[in-house]
Amino acid sequence: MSAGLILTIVLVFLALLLIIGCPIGFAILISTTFGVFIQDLPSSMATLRMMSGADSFLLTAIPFFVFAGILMREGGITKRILNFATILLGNFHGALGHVNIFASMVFGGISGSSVADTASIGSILIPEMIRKKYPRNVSAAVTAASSTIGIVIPPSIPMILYAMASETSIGRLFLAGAIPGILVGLLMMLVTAYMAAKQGYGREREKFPTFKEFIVGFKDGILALTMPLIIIGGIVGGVVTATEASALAVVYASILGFFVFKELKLKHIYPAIKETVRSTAIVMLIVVSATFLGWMLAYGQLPQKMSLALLSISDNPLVILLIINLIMLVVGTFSDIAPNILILTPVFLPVIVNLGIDPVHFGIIIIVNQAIALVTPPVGNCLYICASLSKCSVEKVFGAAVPYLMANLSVLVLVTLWPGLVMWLPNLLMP
Amino acid sequence: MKNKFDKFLNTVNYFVTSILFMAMLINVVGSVILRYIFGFSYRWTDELSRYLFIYIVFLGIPIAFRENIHAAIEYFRSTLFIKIKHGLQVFCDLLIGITIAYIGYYTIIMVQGRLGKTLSSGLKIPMRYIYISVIICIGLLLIEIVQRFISGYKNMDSKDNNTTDFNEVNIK
Repeated sequence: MSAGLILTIVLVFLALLLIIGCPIGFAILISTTFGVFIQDLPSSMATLRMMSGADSFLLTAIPFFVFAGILMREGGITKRILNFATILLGNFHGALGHVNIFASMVFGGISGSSVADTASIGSILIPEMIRKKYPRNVSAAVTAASSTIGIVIPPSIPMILYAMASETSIGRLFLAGAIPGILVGLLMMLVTAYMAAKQGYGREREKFPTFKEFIVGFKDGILALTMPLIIIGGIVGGVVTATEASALAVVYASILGFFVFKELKLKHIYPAIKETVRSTAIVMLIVVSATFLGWMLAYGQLPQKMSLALLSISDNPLVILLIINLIMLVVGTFSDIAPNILILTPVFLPVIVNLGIDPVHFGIIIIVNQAIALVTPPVGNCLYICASLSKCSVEKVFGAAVPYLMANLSVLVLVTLWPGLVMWLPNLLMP
Repeated sequence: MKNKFDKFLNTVNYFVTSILFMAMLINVVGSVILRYIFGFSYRWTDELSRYLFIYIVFLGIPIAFRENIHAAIEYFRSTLFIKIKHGLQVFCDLLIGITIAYIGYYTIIMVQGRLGKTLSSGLKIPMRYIYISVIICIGLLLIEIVQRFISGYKNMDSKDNNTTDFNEVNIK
C-alpha cells in the first residue's frame, strides 16, 4: 500500500478511537502500531520511537516544574498571591475579577500548567466571588479564561513540548512568551473593567491599603515572583540549563514553604511526589506516543505534502499563518493541547521555516492559539473544571467567557501580525 | 475489586518512582552545586537523569492507567447510555492490551539482540537495562487490564463519575 493510504487509515482509526473515549496516548499508540503492522514496517519501531520521545534531558524539566508548583501550592502561596492581588487591585470596581486575572498572571510564572492554575485559584476564588454576588457563570468564566495565561507566561510545559518538537531554544521561547502573556492579562482586565461598569460590580475594599499592609503583601508577592525570575534569569544568563533551572525552582519552593512561610510539612512531600509522578506520566504517555505517530507522519511525508498544499494556496507568510491559525483553532476545540503541539508542530514547521518565519515566533503563535482551546467546548479542560467548581452549566460559563476570549483572540492576531512584539525580548536578552 | 497483589504492586511502584524522582532531583541539583562551588562536572549526569526519567515515565504510565486519569476526550462518550459506555471501555482496553502485547513481544526480541548489548555513551550500561522499563510498563498495564476483566469493570463506575480531581495538577 502507498504511504499516503496507510497514513489515512491510521488517522481515521485514531479519530474513531478518540471519539469513543480511548485515552489519547493509547489511541495514538494503537492506531500507529496498526499502521506499522499492516504496512509490514519494522515492529520494533514502536519501542524505539517511544524511547526516543522519552529520552530527552529537556523533558526531565517537566516533573520538576510540576513538583515546584505543588510545593508552592502546599506551602500556602495561593492565598498569599490572592492577598497581594487584593491589596493592589481591591479598590477597583469588579475587584475580584481583577484579582483573579492578576493572580493567574503571577501563578503563570510559578507553574507551567493552566489546569493547575485553574484548580488552585478557582477552588478559592470562585466560591468567594459567588458569595460576593458575582453571577456564577461570570465567576467561573473569568477564572477559566484568565488561567489560560498560565501557559503563555513562562515557565510553560507546552512551550517545553514545542521546544522539543521544533528543536528551538527554550530560553528564547520563555522570553518570547512574557510580553504576550502579560498583554492577555491586561486586556482581560480591561474587559473586566468594562463589565464592572456595565453591571455595577462592587469593590473589594473601600479604603486604600495602609503602608504596612502594602509592605507585607508586597513581600509575599515578590517572594512568589522571584520564582520565574530565577528560572528565566538562570537560563537567559547562561548560568544553568532549563532543566537545572527547574530543579532550582524546586529548591526555591522548598525553602519558601519550609522556612519562610513555614506551612510546608514533611508529610506533604510524599503525596506531592506521587502527584508529580501521575502528572508526568499523563503528559509523557502523550509525548512518547506522539513521537511514534510523528515518525509515521514523516514516513507518509505529511510535512512535505502539507508544505506543498499550503504553498499552492499562497506564498504570503500572513496568509499561511492565518490558515494555520484557523486549522489549529478548529483542532484545538476537539483535541487536547499537548498532542496538538507535538503532532502538528513537525507538520507545519517546514513551511514556516521555508517562508522565513522564526520558529520561536511561530511557537508563541501556537501557544497563544492553543491557550484558547483550553476554554472552548467540547474539549476544554479549564472550562470544565470551572463549570464544575461553580456548579453552573458549561454552556453558560462559555457564554460568559466569550468576552474574555476576545482578549486572547486579539493577542493572537497581534502576535501573528507583529513579530516584533514577540521577538523583541528574546532578541534583546538572548541574541 | 482490587486484590491485594494489585495494591501491593501499586504501592511498590509509587515507592520506586518516588525514589527515582528524588534521585533525579539530587542528581541535577548536585551537578549544579558541583559545577559552581567545586568547579567540576561529570559527563554522565545528563545521561543518568534521562535514564531515571525514562523509568519514572514508564513506571508512571501504569499508575495513571490504574487510576484511570490518562487524558481522554470524554465528551462524546458522556452522551451515551451507560451500557454502551461500558462496552466501549472494554473494547478500548482490549485494543490497548493487544497492541501493547504486540509491542512488548517485539521489544523482548529486540532487547535480546545487538541493541540490548550496546553500551550507553556516558555510564557504559547496556541499553537493555533501559529498554526493560518499556517491558515492565507493558507488564503492569497487562496486569491491570486482566484485573479489570476479572472484576467485570465494577469499580470503574465510581471513577467515571469523579474524573475531575481539582487538586490534580494535570499538565495542559
